[in-house]
Amino acid sequence: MSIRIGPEGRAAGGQAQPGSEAPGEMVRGEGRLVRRDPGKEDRASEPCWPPGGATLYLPAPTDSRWLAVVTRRESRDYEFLALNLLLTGVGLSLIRDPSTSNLEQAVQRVRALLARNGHSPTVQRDVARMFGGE
Amino acid sequence: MHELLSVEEVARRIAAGKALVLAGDEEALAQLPRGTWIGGTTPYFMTERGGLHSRDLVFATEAGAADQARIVVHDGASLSQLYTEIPDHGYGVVLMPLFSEAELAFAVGAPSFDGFASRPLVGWVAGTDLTDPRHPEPKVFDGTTGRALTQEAVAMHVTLPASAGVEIGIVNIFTPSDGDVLSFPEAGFSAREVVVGGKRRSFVDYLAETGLDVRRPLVGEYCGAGLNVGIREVDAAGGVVQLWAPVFPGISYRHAAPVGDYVSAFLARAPRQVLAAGSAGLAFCCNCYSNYSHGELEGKRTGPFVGPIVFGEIAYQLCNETLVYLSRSELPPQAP
Repeated sequence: MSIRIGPEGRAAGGQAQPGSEAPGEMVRGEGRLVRRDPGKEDRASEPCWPPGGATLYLPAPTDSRWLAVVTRRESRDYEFLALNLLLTGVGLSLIRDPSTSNLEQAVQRVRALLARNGHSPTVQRDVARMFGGE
Repeated sequence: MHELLSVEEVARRIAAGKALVLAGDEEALAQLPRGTWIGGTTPYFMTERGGLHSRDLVFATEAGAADQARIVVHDGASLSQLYTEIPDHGYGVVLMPLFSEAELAFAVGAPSFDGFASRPLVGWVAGTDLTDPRHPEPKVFDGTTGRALTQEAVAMHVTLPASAGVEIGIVNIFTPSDGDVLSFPEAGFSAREVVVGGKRRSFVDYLAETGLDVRRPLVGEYCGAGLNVGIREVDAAGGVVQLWAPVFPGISYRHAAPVGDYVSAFLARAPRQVLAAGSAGLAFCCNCYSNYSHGELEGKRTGPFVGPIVFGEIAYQLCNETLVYLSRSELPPQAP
């Protein structure tokens, strides 16, 4: 299991600063560091699922896959209780206010929650359900 | 550590510098010395020996050393800051009296609080001995001052060691039946109208026509989690149904399916790894009085889940008829 390292150099295991990554930061993936180039399409950094290991990868906040997550366009049953409750709340909020700013805020909140709890096997399974890889 | 103790033993642990979350009868809690503890009234407990009732003993859950815990009292207005007070690496425990202003504010408002669900928050709603003819008021205690509170909530915010992590879990033995999907146009602890099949109608009339067993709760759907709303009273004359937790617009509810043996149901629905870790793997646990009563849990054990029997449970927000626990584990070592 590798955990994405934030700009502070700390693993997202409850002590990272969620949602704080910036373009061009060094990220650790399966024992090596790669540089993300600023301006490149976030989708270019696809998650990888090497045999025998698992990678917790959270797409950048601007990744379009988050839209399906926060609007529940693709319904999934998640296990992490905080995620269940937060997605319910942001989903209802987005029905009331579908503005871009509210959508961005919703994505940030969900992403931050997952990053903060990335050490949890429950969260890891839920992220796999969200973005594939199970 | 979670144990049913004498008042004297709890006092020793307070003096020894432990941070404690306590449950017991008011008279027992009132005897305790000041220290780093919070408490709430209930005389019902689930222990290693099974469910039992006691006015003399106190259930103690140890939250660590006193210098790792901070206690805050909140009224209904300041509760909205609760989540922002929880340590970045830690958790919060909040207790509030049944039918208090704090309970009302928390139950309805929590999903809108700043930082809702961003950090672990557990807790419970204090009640009283239902056989006590004096009908005392439910209370919570701020152990730092010894004050007993009837309208406020008291919270303990615990900082965890860097090597430890916690995760909230619930065991809800109630599953949605195949009946109608219900929704409610307004949030609150009472409901006059329900929406069924897209049509608004009297909730009292709906319950009467369908004959639903009101001892079983409604189960709300939360992206894969089921949260219960217990039915407290059907006031046919007043045309209103009183509830043990608020319903919220936008949430779909179904009446719960029947449950057979409660002990079997709890053990069947609890995660295997939590059962395997035993009570030593739990930093907190509580279960609902409704389960204790309807499930006839006095004298029966519910596996490793020991703790107070309470009148509302908190797992980020108010729950009903639910077993709530906080599991504790060692975090993987940080990469160099």
